[in-house]
Amino acid sequence: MKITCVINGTLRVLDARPLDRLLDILRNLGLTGAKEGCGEGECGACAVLLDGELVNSCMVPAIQVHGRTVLTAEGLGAPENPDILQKAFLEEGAVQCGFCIPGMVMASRALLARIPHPDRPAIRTGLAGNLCRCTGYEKIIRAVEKAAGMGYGEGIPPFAGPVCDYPPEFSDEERKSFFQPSSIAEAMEIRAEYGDEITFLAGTTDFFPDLKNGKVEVKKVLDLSRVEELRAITRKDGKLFVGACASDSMIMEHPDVLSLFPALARAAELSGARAVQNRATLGGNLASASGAADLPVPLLVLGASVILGSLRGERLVPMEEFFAGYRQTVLKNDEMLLGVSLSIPPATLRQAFYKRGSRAALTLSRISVACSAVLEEGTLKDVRIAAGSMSAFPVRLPETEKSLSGKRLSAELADDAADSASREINPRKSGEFRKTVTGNLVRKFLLSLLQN
Amino acid sequence: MDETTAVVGSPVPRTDGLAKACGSAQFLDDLNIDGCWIGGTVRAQVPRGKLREIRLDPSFDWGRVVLVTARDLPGINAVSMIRDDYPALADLLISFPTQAVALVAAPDQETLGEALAAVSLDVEELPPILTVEDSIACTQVIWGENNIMDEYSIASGNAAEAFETADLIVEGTYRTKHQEHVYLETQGMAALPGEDGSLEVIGSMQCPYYVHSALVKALGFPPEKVRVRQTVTGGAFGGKEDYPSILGLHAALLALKSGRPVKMVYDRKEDLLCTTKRHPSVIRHRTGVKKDGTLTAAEIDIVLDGGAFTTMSKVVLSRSILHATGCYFIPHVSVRARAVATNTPPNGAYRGFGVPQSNFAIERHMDRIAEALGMDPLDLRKKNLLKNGSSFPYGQVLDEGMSAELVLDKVVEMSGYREKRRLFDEENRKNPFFRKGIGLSLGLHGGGFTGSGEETISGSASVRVTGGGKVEVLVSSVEMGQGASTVLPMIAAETLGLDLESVVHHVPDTSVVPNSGPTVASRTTMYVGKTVQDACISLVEQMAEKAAELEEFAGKRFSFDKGAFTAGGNDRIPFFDMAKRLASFPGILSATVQYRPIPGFSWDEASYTGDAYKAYAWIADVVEVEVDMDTFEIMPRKAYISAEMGKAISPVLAEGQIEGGSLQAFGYAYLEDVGMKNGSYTAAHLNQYLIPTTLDTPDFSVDLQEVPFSWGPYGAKGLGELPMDSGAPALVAAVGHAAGVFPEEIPVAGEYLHSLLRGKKQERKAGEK
Ligand SMILES: Cc1cc2nc3c(=O)[nH]c(=O)nc-3n(C[C@H](O)[C@H](O)[C@H](O)COP(=O)(O)OP(=O)(O)OC[C@H]3O[C@@H](n4cnc5c(N)ncnc54)[C@H](O)[C@@H]3O)c2cc1C
Ligand code: FES
Ligand code: FES
Repeated sequence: MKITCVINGTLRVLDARPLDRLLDILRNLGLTGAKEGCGEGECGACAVLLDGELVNSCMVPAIQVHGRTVLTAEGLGAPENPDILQKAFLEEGAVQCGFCIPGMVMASRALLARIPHPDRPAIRTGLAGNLCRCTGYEKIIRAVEKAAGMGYGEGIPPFAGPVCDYPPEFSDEERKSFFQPSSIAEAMEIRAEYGDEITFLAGTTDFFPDLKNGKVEVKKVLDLSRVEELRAITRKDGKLFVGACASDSMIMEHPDVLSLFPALARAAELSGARAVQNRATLGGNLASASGAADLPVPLLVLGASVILGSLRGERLVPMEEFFAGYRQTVLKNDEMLLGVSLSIPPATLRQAFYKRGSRAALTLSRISVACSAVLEEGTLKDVRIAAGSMSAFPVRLPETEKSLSGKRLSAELADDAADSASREINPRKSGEFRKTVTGNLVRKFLLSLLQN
Repeated sequence: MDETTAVVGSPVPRTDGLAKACGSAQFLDDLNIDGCWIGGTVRAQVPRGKLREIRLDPSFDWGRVVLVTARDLPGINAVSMIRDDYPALADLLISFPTQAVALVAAPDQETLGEALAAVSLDVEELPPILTVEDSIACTQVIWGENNIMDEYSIASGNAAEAFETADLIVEGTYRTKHQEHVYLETQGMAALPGEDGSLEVIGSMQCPYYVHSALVKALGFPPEKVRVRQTVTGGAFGGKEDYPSILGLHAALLALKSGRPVKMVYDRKEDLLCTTKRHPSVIRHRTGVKKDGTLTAAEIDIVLDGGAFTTMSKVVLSRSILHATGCYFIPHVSVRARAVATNTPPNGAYRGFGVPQSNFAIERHMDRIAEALGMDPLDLRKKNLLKNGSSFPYGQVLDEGMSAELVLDKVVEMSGYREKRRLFDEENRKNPFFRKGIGLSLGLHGGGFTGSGEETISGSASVRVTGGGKVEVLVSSVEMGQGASTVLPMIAAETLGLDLESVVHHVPDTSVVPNSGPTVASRTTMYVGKTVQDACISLVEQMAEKAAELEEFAGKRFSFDKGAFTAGGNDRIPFFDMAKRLASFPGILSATVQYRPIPGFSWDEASYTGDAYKAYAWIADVVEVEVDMDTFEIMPRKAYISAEMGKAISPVLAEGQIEGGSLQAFGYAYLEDVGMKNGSYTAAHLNQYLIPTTLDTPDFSVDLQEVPFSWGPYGAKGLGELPMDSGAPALVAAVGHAAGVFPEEIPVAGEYLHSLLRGKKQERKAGEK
């Protein structure tokens, strides 16, 4: 295919195969600043900016680069004329072996563009997807502080919009297997025609690791990146609709999600790290049906319904009924995920999402728990509890919920609920540990209700 | 800044920093090599067995690729390291699951993938040895006569007798697991055959001459036909000490057979699953103490899991035993150390080289003794520190530079250790679900090779003036992130009175640079730096001498000071001016010097006694953590570190070494686990082998102390490995303090902490009944 894009300020028309990784495209152009440290989103060495947003270029397909603007470390400056940020890295001693550094510089720039004067925790969060094994990060953090102090963030121009408004050019051969519709209706037609042969591309953060590890066989590709409608988050008629292609970043920063469904925002915020969040979508997270997926867990307790669409029409499936087994959903082979619909809860609804990963960031859940309840004059109502990562897919804990609803909340009740939740789940591995932690997190939620 | 030095000790930025920050530094995989094929590896898949046959699928067109098996080796089938026991390719016997059996080179990734899939192995499986316990019990003999690769012992005083008079005997067994380096740039080497029958091998490495010697032996090439050149190296940490010899040889075999350049760059999965790791350890301590905390006797037993072949195990073990008693003086000591074979991937060099294991054990054991005596861990340590004049168990006595107390006092002051220990206890009583803890540890590291190792390798360094008005430092010591290409030029610049811009580190290339030894053992600044300094002094001496022969200066005697030659009066000739006047004598404008043995030290290899190291660097850590008692998550929050390294040639780089090394130690303490199943690691991705992210990292406060070592360049001692030695026990002690448990293994993962707490709960419940 032929794609048109701007790379480091230069308009380019490039020949590529639709699934070529942006990382390889750049490196083949001699832009070797972006490096492969893992090839599956886990290190950030390949990080670049795509339309001003941080992405891992090892997980971006050529088909989604068309019409977009790419910026790499080489685009900021060269040793003869480094930019402020690159100089700050040098002066603060933030560079050692240097392999992580171009990606680190790009992550820092993305952070400072969003938050020109971040505090330390914000810097740590902004760089959490970029591993460095040499420096201990301390001097990298100081370099970012230094550049911020020099007004680097304020000097970053806002994203200027798409490079072109025409679609990419596919070869005749490619046209048979690669589809890039710009509306839901068009997408549903293609889906109806090819059924099971279709692989959807949304944020491709599950797709590329799966491809690398031989877990997907690609026949026909339906890229959703140009379907604007799917990215919407809208509030209407007492419902909040979150489109299938809304990204984690959009979800965690959307004012309605933050105020109405903080547990969902939190789950998005605790998923991966910035470069992943900018790409990872709600639809992909649900459709992958991984046992460790984070978003379904709060959705289970927030009364969400999944909206599935096909030429036959739309249907609403309650979240509880969406998963059908290990890596399986009830999605029919002519359907696609359009989004989820959430009823706006009463202001008194309390909710929380907790995640126990293997480290503080960039980690899949080993245990996750979402809870919601209303506390009315000391009495619990509408208690809902869900747990993830225990079994093939996240589940509600009806026994524990029942044992709590209508009861007066007390520390003893919280302890009992912890025991009950531990008993109710059936982890496949590390059983005792997971049972205890799940119980503890249920207790934590209840105790937090007691506190105010 | 030091008043007497201009460059050394100054905050000049590193020489390679901008190229790296701008993405223009070229790592191996960034290079465009014309006509280059790529190589891949067929691996055994079983831990132990007899290789009956390598089968090639006849439906694949083998003309499209090149295949190499053990039969193709022209020289010995071994990757020459300390021993020659590691076959380049398995021949008859398979000894670990990821052992290389055959190699394939192909023009592109797709063809390579197809070819690799078309090779299958016919193997008769044999029962493997998967644990050190089975190895020692000799349930199968898999290495030598009894699976023991190496064994050392050290004794001082009379431990057996001393135990009888102790007030208390405290015992403990401590375990550590594998650790993977996770250099961000994976292993990669390329081989380029020359038309004249020569061979050039380039890549990411620490030790060009190790690779050179391995190639010469296995290929049967004359040394001058082989050239090894380092490319910009994206981290190494010991992981590129031994492995590039293997990978370089593999690439070379494919290149020679195909007659074209072949590159092999592991992807992260292959790197995680196949390359060397830190040796797991089981270390048993038995210690006699007096009631007041004085240590009187120690019996220590160290077992390291060597994996299937020796690689570096012998020397790793040696360092382990020599650092077994840590920073403490114990009059009566008996230590035994063994490295044993298992059918798991060979373990090799990793920053610290056996010391992180021993130091974890002794430091944890000090905490245990403190607990047994009801003393604060700090007081117990202070009572038993090594000082100037105290002797190590192997008999060494140093009268200078024993800085344990210095760094300990400093770190206690910086951190407010005593006050916080009390404060955290109080806070934890109020908030049982979210606890704070503080822990401390000490560490020491002997710089350079052990015993007479430096004398044996006797490395050389050259300096030369280039036509372009620069001075080049020529050594085989590489830049791998640690800063050698800045620090060695800084030493040269200081000695020559030049600024840093005038001095450059030449790319380590065996056809150009002398053998200054491998870039290992924290020896580069301390020993190679000293030799570079000596070479600079030789250079100006010979320039001064030759100048006197020039007509214009006839008969003058020049001396050299602050960058210029002077001969009294108004004769002041800057260094490069003089170099220009001497341009017709190129021999005069370069100098090569060999390491000059430091007098007054002796080591006896047979009895393992004497001066094991010429100087030690010292470190003390205080770590603060938070522990979420609901989720058993550990969060390191603050790290206070004081280190004494003689002289920080570049303070910024020294701090960077300490912060980075400490973070590796913290990861080792609670996160990093390769997982083992049937002799293979289970962690095949970076979401399974977890290293700390920014959010898993504490804020660092680092303090540098300088007690100059008389024989080091500007007083410098070795530093690189030191921080790796001490971080883990401090963090674990802090976790113990927070959670009220005593972990004796690392990593302290959630499950382990949970099981410790559960054990405690049950104990308490049992006690109540
Ligand atoms: C480094 C890293 C860290 C991660 N961390 C987390 C984490 O902490 N928590 C977590 O939950 N996940 C995590 N993930 C997984 C992943 O990011 C999420 O599952 C993400 O939401 C997937 O969305 P996507 O848009 O990238 O999906 P894609 O990869 O584009 O697609 C995934 C699958 O969903 C299907 N699909 C996508 N959209 C639709 C649709 N509209 N209709 C029907 N089918 C569709 C595709 O066909 C494909 O099979 C991580 C991944 C990486 C690489
Ligand atoms: S290469 Fe590691 S995230 Fe892309
Ligand atoms: S500088 Fe080496 S990995 Fe960051």
